[in-house]
Amino acid sequence: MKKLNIKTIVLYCAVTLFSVVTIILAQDTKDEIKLRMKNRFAQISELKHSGKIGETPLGFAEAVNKEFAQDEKISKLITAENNDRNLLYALIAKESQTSVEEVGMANAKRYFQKASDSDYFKTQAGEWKQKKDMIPQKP
Amino acid sequence: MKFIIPIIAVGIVLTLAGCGTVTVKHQVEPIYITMNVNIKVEKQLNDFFDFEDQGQSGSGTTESIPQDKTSKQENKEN
Repeated sequence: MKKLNIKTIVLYCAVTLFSVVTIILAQDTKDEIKLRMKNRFAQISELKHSGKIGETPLGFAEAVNKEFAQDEKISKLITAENNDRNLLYALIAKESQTSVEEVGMANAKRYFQKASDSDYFKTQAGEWKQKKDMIPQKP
Repeated sequence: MKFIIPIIAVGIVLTLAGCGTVTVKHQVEPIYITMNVNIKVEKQLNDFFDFEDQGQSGSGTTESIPQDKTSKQENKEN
């Protein structure tokens, strides 16, 4: 009986330790993602304001036309940004018990609210439009 | 005898109405849960992307805003 109790306690401690380590590692990953995205933010903003990249309905960055998509610098930046966004959406989805798509769409909505009128957004139909053209004009 | 058919009709209507209320009760909870999840996700995203607001306030494009504030302050002083 005593042995069983010690085993149970050891097992409980191991599980707790594993959970704590997992949470700490996850937090580290989130912080790492944040740092990388923060370092990239100025470049991404500049490309958005110059109309070279835009936001998709699922919360990912994309080149507005083929010319910009073929630019190696822009392409690398978009890939790195989307990789980090994917990791972030997965982490938040796991924490909030929802899907990656839901988190992505929530982030797309957030980007739209914060964007300037000249920023580009991809419609559900796959067409690129500036924010000012997407908001219904008042008569 | 005359009242049998109206009584049956009322009985059927009440039974159907009773069934209707049961389905409405089941639809309330998922909406509430979805809203909670959405609020949680939005909060997490806002917390994560707090650097965007800091970056915008220091960027060249929004430099005109602090200048406007200072000019307003100067006007008040005058």
